[in-house]
Amino acid sequence: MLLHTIRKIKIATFLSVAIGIFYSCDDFVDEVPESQISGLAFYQNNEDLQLALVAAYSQMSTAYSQYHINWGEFRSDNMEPFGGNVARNSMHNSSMDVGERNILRWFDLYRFIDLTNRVINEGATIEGVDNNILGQAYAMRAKVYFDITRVWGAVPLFTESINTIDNAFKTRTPAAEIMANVVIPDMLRAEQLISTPSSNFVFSQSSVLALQAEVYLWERENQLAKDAIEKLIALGTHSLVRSPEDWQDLFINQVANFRVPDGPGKVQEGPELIFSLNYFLGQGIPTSGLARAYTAGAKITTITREVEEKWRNRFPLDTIWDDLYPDTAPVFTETIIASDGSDSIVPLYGDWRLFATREGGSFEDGVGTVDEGEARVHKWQKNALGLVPSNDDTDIVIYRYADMILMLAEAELKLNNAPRALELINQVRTARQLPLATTEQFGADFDTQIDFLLDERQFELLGEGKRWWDLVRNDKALEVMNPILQDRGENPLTEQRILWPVWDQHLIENPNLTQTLGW
Amino acid sequence: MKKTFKKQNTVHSFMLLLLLLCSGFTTFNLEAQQKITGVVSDVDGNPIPGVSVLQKGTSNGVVTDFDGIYSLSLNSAEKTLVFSYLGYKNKEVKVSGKVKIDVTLEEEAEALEEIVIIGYAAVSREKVLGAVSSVKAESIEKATAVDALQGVQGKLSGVQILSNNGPGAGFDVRVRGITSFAQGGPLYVVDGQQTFDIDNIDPNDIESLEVLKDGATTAIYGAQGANGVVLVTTKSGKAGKTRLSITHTTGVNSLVGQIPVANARQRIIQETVANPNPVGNRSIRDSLSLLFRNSEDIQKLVTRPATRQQVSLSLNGGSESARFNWNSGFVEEQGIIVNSGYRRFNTRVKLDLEPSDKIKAGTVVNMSFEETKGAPSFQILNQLTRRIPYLPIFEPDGTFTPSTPGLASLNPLQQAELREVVTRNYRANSFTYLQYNFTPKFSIKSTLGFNFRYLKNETFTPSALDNRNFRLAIPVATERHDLSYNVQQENFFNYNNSWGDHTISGFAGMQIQRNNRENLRLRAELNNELITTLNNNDPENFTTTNGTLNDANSLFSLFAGFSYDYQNKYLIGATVRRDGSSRFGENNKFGYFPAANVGWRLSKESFLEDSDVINNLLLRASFGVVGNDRIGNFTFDTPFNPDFTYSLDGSIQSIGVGPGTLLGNADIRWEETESINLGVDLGLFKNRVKIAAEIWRKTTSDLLVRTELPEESGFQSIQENRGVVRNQGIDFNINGTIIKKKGFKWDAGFNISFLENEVTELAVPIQQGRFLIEEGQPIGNMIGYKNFGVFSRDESNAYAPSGERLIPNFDSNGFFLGSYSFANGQAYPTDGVVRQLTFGGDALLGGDYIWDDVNGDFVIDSEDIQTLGNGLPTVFGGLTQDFSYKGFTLGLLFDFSFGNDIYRRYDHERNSLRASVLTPSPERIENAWTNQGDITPYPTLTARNREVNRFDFLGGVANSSFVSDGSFIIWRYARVGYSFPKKTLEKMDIGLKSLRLNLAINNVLTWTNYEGYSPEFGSRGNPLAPSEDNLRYPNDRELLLSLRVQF
Repeated sequence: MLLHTIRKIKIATFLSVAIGIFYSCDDFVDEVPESQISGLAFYQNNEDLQLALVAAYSQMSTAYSQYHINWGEFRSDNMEPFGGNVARNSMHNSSMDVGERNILRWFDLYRFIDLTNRVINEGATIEGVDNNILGQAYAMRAKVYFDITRVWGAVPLFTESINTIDNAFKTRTPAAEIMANVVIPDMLRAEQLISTPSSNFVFSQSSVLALQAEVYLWERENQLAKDAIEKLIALGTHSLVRSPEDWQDLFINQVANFRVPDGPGKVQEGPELIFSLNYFLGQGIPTSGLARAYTAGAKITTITREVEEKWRNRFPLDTIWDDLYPDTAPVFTETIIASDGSDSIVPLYGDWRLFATREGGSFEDGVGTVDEGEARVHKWQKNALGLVPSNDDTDIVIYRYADMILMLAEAELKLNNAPRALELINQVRTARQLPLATTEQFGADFDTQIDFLLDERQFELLGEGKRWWDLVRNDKALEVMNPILQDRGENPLTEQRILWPVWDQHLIENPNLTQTLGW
Repeated sequence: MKKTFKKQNTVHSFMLLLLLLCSGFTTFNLEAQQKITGVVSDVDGNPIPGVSVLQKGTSNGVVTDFDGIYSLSLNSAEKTLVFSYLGYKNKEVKVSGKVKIDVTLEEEAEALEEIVIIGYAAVSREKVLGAVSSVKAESIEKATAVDALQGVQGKLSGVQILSNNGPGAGFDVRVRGITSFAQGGPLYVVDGQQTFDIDNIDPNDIESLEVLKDGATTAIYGAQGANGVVLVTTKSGKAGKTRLSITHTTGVNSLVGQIPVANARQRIIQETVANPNPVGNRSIRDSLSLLFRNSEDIQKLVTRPATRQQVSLSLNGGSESARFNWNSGFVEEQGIIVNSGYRRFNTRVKLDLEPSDKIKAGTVVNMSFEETKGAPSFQILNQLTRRIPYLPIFEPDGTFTPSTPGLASLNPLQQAELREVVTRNYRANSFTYLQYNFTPKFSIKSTLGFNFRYLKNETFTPSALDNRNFRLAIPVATERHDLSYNVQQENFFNYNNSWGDHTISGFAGMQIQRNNRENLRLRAELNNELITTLNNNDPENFTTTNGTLNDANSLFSLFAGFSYDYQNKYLIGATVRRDGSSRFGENNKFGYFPAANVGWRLSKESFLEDSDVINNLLLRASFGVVGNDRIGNFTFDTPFNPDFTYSLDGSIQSIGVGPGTLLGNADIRWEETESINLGVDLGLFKNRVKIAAEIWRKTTSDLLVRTELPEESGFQSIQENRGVVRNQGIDFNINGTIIKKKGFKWDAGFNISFLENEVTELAVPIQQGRFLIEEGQPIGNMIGYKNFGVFSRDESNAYAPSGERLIPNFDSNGFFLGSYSFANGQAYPTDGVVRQLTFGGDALLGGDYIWDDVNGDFVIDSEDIQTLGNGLPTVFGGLTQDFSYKGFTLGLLFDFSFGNDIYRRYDHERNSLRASVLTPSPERIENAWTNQGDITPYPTLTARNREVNRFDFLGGVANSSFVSDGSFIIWRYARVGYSFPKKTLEKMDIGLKSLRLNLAINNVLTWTNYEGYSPEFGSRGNPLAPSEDNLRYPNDRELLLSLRVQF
């Protein structure tokens, strides 16, 4: 009996020890990520913050690869449809479908916003935080909110990362509120925090000032815009290039292949470049959208007849040039071989920027043989052969010095300082070795002058994502686009439709959102 | 191809010869002492084949042949013979000098001492109170299967096994409907070891396969068993002389049915209609133009009659204290698409040792190599069904005509032949146990299982197939390395006791599991095509594509349970399990999952005890809760990834770190499925007829759902617990012997299951491609726009404001009179308002689809999307018929599935006119609207500027024209076999104990209205998008010859 009891006790002890051991295994199910960082362990110091900043730039390059050109070019009078790409044509004709995910989707933009919010908010908790990092995040956030309020007007406003599902559903905050509470304070904060005067691929003092100029001019704060650009000039970090070759080098990214054996590869350098998004080749990393926008694949977008005509009228392709500009000969010449075999060197009339911008054009042959209205933008790549959109590493220029000089001209003009505006126009013309504009050509009244200036901007900056904003900023979108849309047999543009529609899926996912009026 | 085929044949024959010789030698070693012969028969005098005859106390034994005849040479020890056979009472006979002993065995109607191990306790099969379907080795063998699941298709009530088609592609297994939105099939437990697929097991290895369907029975497997549990018991060693058996199967497969594909003439009609004024280089073609004739039957070119070779060799034997089974197999199956195929080598050793009364130990070691080859079949098949038919396949010199990227029309044959895609799976697993019996009633058992799998996927795309840019074509190679391994360890106690009328058993223990994954994906553009592997480039140029990822998850569980019965009349049992999973956050890691069941055996009650008809009647009920943790790792956290690249200075690339697109949810917790099962088991006429019927309901709550987040939050989704889904149904199964006369036997089995599925709670619907999951509806609803045909004239688009369609009136010359009538002929008032359907601001015209305007606002937009069908069958089952006469057998299996629709996505895609390079189906071209007044099922081929015709709402939604009935009946196999009589074998005198020859046809016939290759296809793991046909590997009909010999 006793023996039996002892045995029972033995077994019971054994069992409870065994179960005790088992129970202590609870820690076994605490796994930590191996190939990832737990959210709780991140944002500890400046090194972490730098990694988060890189992520933000990377995401900016993803988002802007497509949107920068979509927004700034395709709805303007720079570009027209060629062929049957429905999505692209809908932008050219301002008839975007609310279901068009590829041109309306917010995800890449708001992911970018979230990444900047994280740097800003988490940076504030780091002791001895690197102000340069923080400042860049403010600049990025100002830039992206500025752009999306220009595109959509009111948009949902997030200045902090969400941590539960409940705070994911926001309504659209009015543009003016975002401008006043986020964009302007952020860009001013960025100026205070950033000490680097200039850096091509990240925000620096110079690019923050360029951003300020852009924002203030949009907000009709012409004096503040002027101040910002003058500060930028005073920094002395940038200047205009002085030769057509140098100008071309700001853009060119032509890979050598059998069609273009002497393709110089990626150049894209010069003192005019204030801020660009940098792209490089590799699998799974962002690619530039420039080839996709203009050159690669079948021809879907071409330079409009209207802009070419205007351009050719201002800088004639023949001897009319001599009548208009008797004092300045064209930069380039060509050799003409007569029927008797003798050759003669004659001026190559026309704006060489047109030669450099349009398909088939060159400094040797002028505008080339492609008809007006059928030429693609060949500012970055000269030859579509061998171009693969997913292999495009062309940097996207966000701010360029010539853009700033011409914006300064616009500010001066709006501040009733037309002579200074003309001076600035001619500063650019001088650098381009083009004949100077006369007061007569510039015009006598504001309307003529602003049109002249906007044309100058159009020729200089064609394809760079500026024109649509020039039109909207100066209330000229309807005036310029409606005759063109009418010619194409499309519905006219309305005041409300200057803003873009919201992708319908966003409206479905978040019932607090409403569609942009007019769509 | 031919060459290798021949060579392999030689190898097989050589091996066979060698084996024959070897085994011949062993027979010479037989000691001939006292020889006993005799016949074993049942009470009716029918001989019983396969009865084990053993000399008591030794390992000396034989098995009776088909005529019930045995012959055994006795050793000098004790001279008693033991006759045993499943389902019959054992019989012992003293030899006492006799040389011929005929024996009659009595059927053991009541206690089939069959044991099934469920979870951690062995249960006598008759005492199982849950819902269990099982299939035995003989039945699996009949299907002449490449893998185990193919062998049980159609035989398990309540279990749907759908082929994913294609060599090595595996099967989709649905146990009693779809209870979870999470991906994944059932849990497989192979001899106690848990795993998620059994593709690497030779069907010849399997002794029995059972599917546990109800919650109470699966509950003990915890978190992993939420989608059902499949128990696989492999063959164990049997004490006695070592037996060798060899099975060899040879077969030929061929394509069944073809999909109609447009020819060149039809393509030209399409082009002419789409663009009546040819521009550029498109010249007018006359009917004699070669272009008209230049359309090849590509389906014929891309497919081929494919062969299959399968050999399996097993050795089985041992003594009472050490038994073994060793099986090795080889399969080589060509795909019926050229350049595709599957190979498998596997070897499995199972050892069971009993060094003393106190200790039992054993191990299973399984190793396999699988190789799957071939370009993705859906790509090739889609290309061939939609390509421009007049584009040539071959150049005049016989080489492939290159694909023309400008026309986005790839050469499918070139794709199939030149693209190299090889996946190799190297797998090894071991499972070891050690059991110590404190007393005969109380024991502890420890197990250790290890699973290792290395998957290597290599692809090579020659420059000829580089469709990004054919001018600068670059050959590309990729490699994917997935390494996964897991450890499973269990320790548990078992207690079994019975006294008087009471039987009780109990168990308690723990289990840990840890699964690790490590992977790497690489891609490189190669320097040339001479070497097709990654070393043909500088490692600097390798790029990781989906990156690399290492992670692990773990589970820790405690469990206990008991079962009790009184006189085997009143039965009761319960289990409880506490599961912890690393996939949940701090506060939700652990879940408690209880289960209980009761049974009442009426046949033991006095009023039935003496029944001649009913020999078993058991009513049973069970209830159980099972948890599910099949979500990604760390969804409770928001982990940061190094997925961002940017160059801050334009020269050095930096890698940034940021969160992924899934927002962490700290509150994520266990999904729970509650299930109730009521069943009845009925055995009639001494178990000659067995019926099992179950009615069941499963309710899953706190469903693990990926909820889409508004994208402006910076995230795309979050893992949440929300929603309830309910499945309920009836499973019915009957098996019986219809005729059993001398030498002749006819067995039949039939099972049918009815299934109903409903999402009873789901606040925000979930869309998965073209499938919508919403409250009050079943899973598997296909959504899209419904059409009522095509407007025959521009004026036909006319409606009264009430939504009623109006009929325009025409004069005899076909001029529109400007007035309308109702459908009943009554005139519509001339001043009545006439509304028109519009899309995108334009009124629909003649030749446009008549879309169903659901909301009645005359605008066709996303508000008119409706449910067009459902992809889940509601009734399915199978019918088996087995006949045997003397040495001949005939086996048939039919299985069926009714009630589901199939969305022909491939057809919608090619018929959408989305791009001018897509060629629609011949039917679409021939039946397209062309002129005012045409009444056709398909709209105009003219692109015009009408997106609704051109795109046909392609993408997110379906069109009712492309939703078909997916019901089918498949005659799965017909197999005729012949076993050679023992006398013949003896005459051959090469030591053969049995020789069996089978001729089989698999996939004999399919009865269906479905237009595609096959109405049967799995959803490849995604339970929420069933029956969407984007062209799978087509079904094949197989003709097989197999030979089975035993020594």
